Amino acid sequence: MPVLNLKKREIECKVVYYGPGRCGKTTNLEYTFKTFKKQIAGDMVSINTEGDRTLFFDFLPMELGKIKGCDIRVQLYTVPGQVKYSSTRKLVLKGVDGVVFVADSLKVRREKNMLSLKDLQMNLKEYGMSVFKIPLVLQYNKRDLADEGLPIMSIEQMERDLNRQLKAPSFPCSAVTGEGVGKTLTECLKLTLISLQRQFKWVQ
Amino acid sequence: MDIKSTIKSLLKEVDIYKTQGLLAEAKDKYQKTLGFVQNNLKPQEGKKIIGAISDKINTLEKEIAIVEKKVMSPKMTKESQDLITKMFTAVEGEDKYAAELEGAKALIKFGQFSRAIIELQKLIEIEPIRLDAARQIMNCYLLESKYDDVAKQYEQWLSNDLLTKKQLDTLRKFVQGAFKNKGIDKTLPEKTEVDEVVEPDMAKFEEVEAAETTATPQKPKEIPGAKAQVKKPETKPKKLKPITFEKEEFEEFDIMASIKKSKKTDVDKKK
Ligand SMILES: Nc1nc2c(ncn2[C@@H]2O[C@H](COP(=O)(O)OP(=O)(O)OP(=O)(O)O)[C@@H](O)[C@H]2O)c(=O)[nH]1
Ligand SMILES: [Mg+2]
Repeated sequence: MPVLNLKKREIECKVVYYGPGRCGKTTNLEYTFKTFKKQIAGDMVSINTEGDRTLFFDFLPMELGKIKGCDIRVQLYTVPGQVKYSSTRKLVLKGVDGVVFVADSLKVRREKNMLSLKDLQMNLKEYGMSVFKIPLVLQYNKRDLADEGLPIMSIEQMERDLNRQLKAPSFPCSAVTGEGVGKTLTECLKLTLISLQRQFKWVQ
Repeated sequence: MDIKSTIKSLLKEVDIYKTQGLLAEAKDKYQKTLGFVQNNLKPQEGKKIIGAISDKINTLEKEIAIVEKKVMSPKMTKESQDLITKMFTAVEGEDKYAAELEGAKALIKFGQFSRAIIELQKLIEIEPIRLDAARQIMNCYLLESKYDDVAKQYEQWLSNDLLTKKQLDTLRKFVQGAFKNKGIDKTLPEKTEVDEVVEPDMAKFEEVEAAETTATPQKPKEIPGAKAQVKKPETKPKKLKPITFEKEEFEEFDIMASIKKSKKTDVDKKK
């Protein structure tokens, strides 16, 4: 849920990175933290990881500066992808304004991508939101693994699998090299702010 | 590709899955490699490599078992706990205390029981959310299996006037139910009808009367904070099966059909 303080001309919104375990959500945030220093408004908090798996969530506060006289603050979160942390995932999703769905391009993760997208849809629904209506961007991550000779899915196949009905903007990406990370986030922020504008008309 | 190169490339794939933390996939690939070796090398030739792969599978299985264990109550810094609390209290227009109660419940959901109890002990002073706060304190002890603390806390409340008889009854039933589910043989005493027998010290008569009047008229009916409750995650476990959508749904979202299809194609390919 966005926090709007129109007197102070401030808007705070929440973007959540969702996706199956090990797809690269945390790596996305780490890259953002390293690269977009100007917009970073504080430390990246990674709440307890076992190995480097997210146990609860990662958190990264950003400040985008002023848009039409309004200060825009964004909180980025990642959810834990492991299936067993379903209740935490749902909790972290609470009050979300925009979603980046990170899908793993590895062929062996095909079904996991779909199950996770389904899980997102169900959790949004339980909060009274629709996966079709929320600002959503898909990211097809780990494209670089093709160079290692690993079997990865084609973009067309991933579009068919995940985006046939959603028709959301989608980006190929490699979160370790950073390729596509910024583009994904920028698009999601754009959609999120447009949606907030539509709801709250903060730009007169 | 010759046999050796195939094995090499299969093992390289396994290594990458392992560095990605995709342990189940790594194990699966090891097993496929094992099958390939058995089918393509003579027993004598394959013996060594089969032994080596089997050892690696064993190690991997141990790693998988560790990862699969659910961490219930991890250590966390105060800053992280504050962040969790803030995440669930920064809701505008909501009752302040109800929001704080939400924050405490979030701490419980993230396994931060001790910190949650500290917050709840403050909230129990606030009448509209008193019973809910008390229940959550009990909930913390129950989740930590601290049954003696449950009884101790209950007795403390029994001996002071913080909670009404009706509230205590509700709590007692809640705890007894939980004890029963967990197979704990403990019975909490009921509060007796007369709130307290106060010594008839005539000098203090006025004070006592005042105290009793404040203790009696509390009616724990509706808890305003209740509407703001985060749904308990322990509700029905969700099953990822083909779903039927409500009519209001914007559009049918039949991603599970793709999964079925994908399974078919995989099988088809193998054929
Ligand atoms: N080659 C490659 N590896 C990646 C990429 N993105 C992530 N990884 C690796 O994949 C593994 C998992 O990445 P994380 O960012 O921790 O994944 P996650 O989605 O946060 O995982 P959970 O917290 O378990 O849900 C790590 O070893 C990363 O280095 C990528 O684009 N290419
Ligand atoms: Mg993570």
